[in-house]
Amino acid sequence: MLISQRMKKVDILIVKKMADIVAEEIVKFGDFEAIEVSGEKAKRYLLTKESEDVYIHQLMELEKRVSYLMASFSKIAGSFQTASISVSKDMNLLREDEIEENIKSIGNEMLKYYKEMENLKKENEDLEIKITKLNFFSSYKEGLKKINDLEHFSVWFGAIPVTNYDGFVSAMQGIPSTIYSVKVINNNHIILFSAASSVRDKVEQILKNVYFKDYGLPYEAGKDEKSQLIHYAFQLSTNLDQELWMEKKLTDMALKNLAVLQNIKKSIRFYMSRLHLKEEMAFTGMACLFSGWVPASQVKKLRENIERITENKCVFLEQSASEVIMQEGLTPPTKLSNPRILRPFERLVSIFGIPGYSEIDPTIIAAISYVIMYGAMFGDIGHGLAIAFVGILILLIKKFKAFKNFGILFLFIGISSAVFGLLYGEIFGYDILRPIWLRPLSHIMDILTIAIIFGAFMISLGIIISIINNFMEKNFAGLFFSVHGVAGLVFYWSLLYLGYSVLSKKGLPSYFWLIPSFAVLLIIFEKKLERLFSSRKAEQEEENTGVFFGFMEVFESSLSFLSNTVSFMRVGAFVLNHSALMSVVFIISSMSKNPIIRWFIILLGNIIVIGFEGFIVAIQALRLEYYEFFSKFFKTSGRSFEGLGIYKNQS
Amino acid sequence: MFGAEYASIFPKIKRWSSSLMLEKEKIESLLRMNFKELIAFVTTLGKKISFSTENTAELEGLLKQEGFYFLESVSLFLSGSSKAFVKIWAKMYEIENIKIITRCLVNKRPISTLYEIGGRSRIQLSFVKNIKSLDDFLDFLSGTEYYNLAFNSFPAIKENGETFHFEMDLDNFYLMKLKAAMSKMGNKEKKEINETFLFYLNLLRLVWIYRARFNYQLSVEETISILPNIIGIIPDKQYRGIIESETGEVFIQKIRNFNFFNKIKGVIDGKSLERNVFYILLMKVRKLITGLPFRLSAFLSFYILHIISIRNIITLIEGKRNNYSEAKLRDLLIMR
Repeated sequence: MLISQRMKKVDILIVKKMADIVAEEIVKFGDFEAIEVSGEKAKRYLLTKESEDVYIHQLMELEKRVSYLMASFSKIAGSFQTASISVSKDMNLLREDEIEENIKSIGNEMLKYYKEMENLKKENEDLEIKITKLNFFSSYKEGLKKINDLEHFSVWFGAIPVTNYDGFVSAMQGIPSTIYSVKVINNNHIILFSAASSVRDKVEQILKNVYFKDYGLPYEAGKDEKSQLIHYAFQLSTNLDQELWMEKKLTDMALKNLAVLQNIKKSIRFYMSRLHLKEEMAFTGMACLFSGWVPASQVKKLRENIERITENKCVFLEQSASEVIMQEGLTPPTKLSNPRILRPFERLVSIFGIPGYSEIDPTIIAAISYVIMYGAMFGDIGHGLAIAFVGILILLIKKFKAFKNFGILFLFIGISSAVFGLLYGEIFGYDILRPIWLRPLSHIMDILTIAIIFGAFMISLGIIISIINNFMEKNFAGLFFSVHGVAGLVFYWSLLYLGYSVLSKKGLPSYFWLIPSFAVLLIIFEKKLERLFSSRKAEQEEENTGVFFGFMEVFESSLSFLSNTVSFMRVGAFVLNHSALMSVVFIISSMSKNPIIRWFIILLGNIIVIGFEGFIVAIQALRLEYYEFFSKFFKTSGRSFEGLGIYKNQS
Repeated sequence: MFGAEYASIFPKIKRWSSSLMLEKEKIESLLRMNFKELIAFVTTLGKKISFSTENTAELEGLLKQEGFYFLESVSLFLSGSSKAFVKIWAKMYEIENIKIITRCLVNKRPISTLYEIGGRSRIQLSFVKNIKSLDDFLDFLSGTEYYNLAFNSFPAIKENGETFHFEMDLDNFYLMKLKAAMSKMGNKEKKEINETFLFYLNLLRLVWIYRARFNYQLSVEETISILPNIIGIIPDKQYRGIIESETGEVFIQKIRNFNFFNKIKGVIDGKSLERNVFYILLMKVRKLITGLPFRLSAFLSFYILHIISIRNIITLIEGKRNNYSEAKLRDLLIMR
């Protein structure tokens, strides 16, 4: 847990004709990060490479189509329904021609549905307009007969798309006419308008441009009017039911196809990974050579697999990471190996950076310290259990499986809060329990002192990890003389002792000043000592600059040690803050004499405290981890292991 | 809030603006290059795309594609109504794809180049390979917001083989969506959009009015019905007055009365109208790009200048290919 998985570099030589099946096997195996075979080695053995760009491009096109279909279906099915779709981790690999066929058939199914839906919508629009027409003209029975007899005026009734309506109105402004907008139905303006018969041609041209759909005038209004209305209304209601049914059908189709599309996407990624690996392979006329990083624990299995499928017609060379670092100067990737339960904390660490191959993985330390700090700052049995309950809900409800990491995190910090609540004797802000440890508001100085001691412990731990990291990297100068090495630790502890002596008014032993002074001298001359040990000839200018920077570093680190330690006071401050905030809630609630309002205020106050304060405490604890603790040792010099497995991005 | 979100995009715009081909000195150095050198130079301009073509139309498309990436990139930094506005703005590329596909189908040409517009739309090359006719395309558009427009327009396109009306409809539809998105923004932002992006679209609309009236010989009423005053920067009466111009000269005379056309010293005619419009734009928006970081107008201006810059590059490539003299090219280029 404290160090990343050990890596080995493997060089595999196979017969060229087996390149495809070996590549397929390695992608199925997954834990293999290809290393480009190039440079001297490639020149020496006259190795050539084969471009797979055309096939990769084809697959990328297919992936794009799949992504679009998945996005559309997810939108239709809704995010909750989509989240509940379970994808089997067993690979049901589709053939390349099957992939295209499936995408085509799903795409066509979707288009067919949309086409049917558009037709239905058009039909409904038509029916709605006809109903509007019948309703509108039912009160103009006499007027209609007169319209029929008009000689100098023409009258139209119909629909114009909303997009073209402005154009129609503007164009008609220059023509003697009257326009009456009856209603807007599905992006169509239903209009009744008249214009002089002399300009009929002009009007007809405009109507053509604005896609006017003529519904005509019911010159014989009254005739079968009622029965027509009932007929259209019935048809419309049937169609609306059908529209609802089709929407349901679409949701079912989306859910059914999403699982299929996920499998297609996995197959595409599988073939892409295979092609990417093939691109890293180098060929001669008969043979094929490729290299990669593999976790040491997996090498044996990979060797057996390759020997099996090539019937032992292969050469499999393995080298430890340290040999490769020394001989080829290659840096191995980092593959963290923490249990599933620490995954949310691994995410918190990886946001800050990836530890180098030889660095300590701080995940477990960060997890313990984060949970303790959160619990201490937000100690309350009720609030803690509420957060833990939310965490359990997230873990149990299938639809929230995408937020599983949050569920685990909530569970941990919730339990920690509840435990500290027990120590403080606090439940939903009430001090009704007897504290096992102490009551924060009655022991303010104790709480702040403990917070500072905790801070000093965390900073010391950070420096000790830095010392171990330097030892593992064989950086002995850094280990002994740097500000985050032994010299720094001695200097920091001296400062702590000095602070303690001043505050407790105890005297210092006469030899005390020798210890920090020696540590300071080592830090100041760190660069010079480094060169001395590595027996490098230093230039005068560099030496002067090194000493100058040494002075600056001592000054800066004294300030940062002080501010970092004091920064941990916020742990204590939030303990007090929590109690104080709950007191405010109770004071506000006591202003009301109505018990319902009082309880409502208390409930609301608790929700606000859990939501807002809980969130702020989470940020503050993270801040302490990142800036006060990680900055002491975490170089973030690593890069994460990118295996070829198709699940590599699906944690 | 208070334009703070725009501040995050500002350094990006300042950095990108160095690649714009608008400064006289930069263009002069390009003028001295031969055709091959020029193509080699242009291929270094793409930031997110690589060029492997000398085909001017393809190059133009690829350079314009950068505009889409710019909008995508910008939208990552925004939220709320500003983000929604940029998303609608980016629909311009989807609409351009529809226009290109329709033109290809009408002219029986293969659909070979379209804008890449991310994973949210199916109106792009990977999806349209099996479309062989306007009917196929109409079916393909079902379920999209463009279906009704296509449903209304395609019969006429099939009948007379011209896409002008449909393209104008698409533009009107786009403008309406843009105005709707704009209505949800604050007054300061609306003002800035009006002064830059809509000003740009409005000037282009004047060019289209000229073409509709005097190149396609459409009547006043037809022109208004196709190109209504959706943008609304010019008052309705004045807009109608321009369309009612009986000749091209009268049209130019009328638009000369606008303040922004006053700056043009030389003669404006039908041929030079578009170039002058871009010159007016260049003069209007160039200062805004390095103005205050808390303003939306910085990236609205960058977009417009990017379009003018592409126009210059394409003019240079075409001019060099056809051995135009430097003096003639200088006349065609838009520069400070």
